[in-house]
Amino acid sequence: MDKVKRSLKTFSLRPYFFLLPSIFFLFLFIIYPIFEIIYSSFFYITPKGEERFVGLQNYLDLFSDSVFVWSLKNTILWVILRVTLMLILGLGIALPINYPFRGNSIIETILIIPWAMPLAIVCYGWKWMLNGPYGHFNSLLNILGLISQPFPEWLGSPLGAFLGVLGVSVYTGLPFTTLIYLSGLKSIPESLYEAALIDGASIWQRFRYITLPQLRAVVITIILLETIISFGSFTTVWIVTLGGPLHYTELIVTYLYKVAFEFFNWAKAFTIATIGFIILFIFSFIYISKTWRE
Amino acid sequence: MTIWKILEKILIYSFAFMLSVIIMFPIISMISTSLKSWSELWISPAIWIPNTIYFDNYIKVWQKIGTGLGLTIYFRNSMIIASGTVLLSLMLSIPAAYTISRYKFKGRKEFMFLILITQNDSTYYFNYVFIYDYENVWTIKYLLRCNFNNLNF
Repeated sequence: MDKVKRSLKTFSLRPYFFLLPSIFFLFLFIIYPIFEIIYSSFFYITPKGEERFVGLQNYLDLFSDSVFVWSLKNTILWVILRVTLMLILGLGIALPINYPFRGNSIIETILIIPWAMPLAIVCYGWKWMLNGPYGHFNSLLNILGLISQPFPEWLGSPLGAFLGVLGVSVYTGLPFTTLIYLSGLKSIPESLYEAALIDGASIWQRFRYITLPQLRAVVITIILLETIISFGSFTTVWIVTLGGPLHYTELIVTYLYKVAFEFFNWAKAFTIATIGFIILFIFSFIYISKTWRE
Repeated sequence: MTIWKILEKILIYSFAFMLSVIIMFPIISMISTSLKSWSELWISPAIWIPNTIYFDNYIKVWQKIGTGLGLTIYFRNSMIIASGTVLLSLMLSIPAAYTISRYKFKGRKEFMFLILITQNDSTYYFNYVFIYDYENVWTIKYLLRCNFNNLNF
């Protein structure tokens, strides 16, 4: 204890020495690339590799690119739909599971499976499952009598592809949301419900006036976190549809990847990365200042 | 009262059952597909239980995939990456965590914020890009400057 106190009072270089390796890695692998990208987005890179300062010209060019504007709109729609689905479905699953019953822990274990499995494997599984003639999804719908022989090719139609990718994304992301909801639900004191029961509150009233207000912090956390995750859901989209058919499932991240590593248009890629980074940084900043606990 | 209790139980259990079926659906589909032979794979309404359980796919995967070494090489790579990541992050994070919890120093709060903002998904998810961009920062730019200049196209 004495030692700790002494170290609190006197200035020493020791803490900085301990922090040095992690700061070094942070700067090398995260901070430096970010600034390099932001800096490079103000330059035009000629095919010869010369860099010419062009100011904001890259950004102006970007917003006259119809595919980028389309993918930006798509991303916003994607984020809104995904976050809403997560919020509603997560609560819808967490509420009954939180109810004490036998086999509670089994369900919680099963629930974690989609999240615990490697994302790429789940996505490939879904991709084959959603296959038109040979997938199990259509086979199931056929058994249920919802569709008949010329089976729809889900990932081949604009709306089907969007909904399909959204479904896969929600499937893989839902366990996490549900777990956050569950932890939130478990921290609500039981005495509140008991008091409400004595006062004769109905199920709906108990939900509306106890559960929802108590979950407020959890809901805000989920909204911010899922927004951040949704903006960057690259793996799912890339594996299931590659942003196709005809950019119908294109998000900023997938377009960024295409511009950078298929078209090799570095200046444009840096510009898109900067815009994406700024959007995500705002949300992360809000998220961290909301959950900041010292 | 008791009837309501029983109804509640039935509802909960059927919900739990439905949920686990939906969650297990892709996994069952995956297992079912992995046990199919090539010809059974292309039957149009996809069958759930293959007529002949066909384990050859598993053997093939271990023997033939990729460079002829089978899955072993991929597993070896994954093990190297996983253990390397764990070791490196422990080496970096243990001193940092110790310092943050034990010492009070100028810039402590700033450092924690830096850690959080960089470990947060904003940068984490853009890491796909950053890693590649990073690669490009060193190599592609270098290539552009050196090779393409020499190529003179």
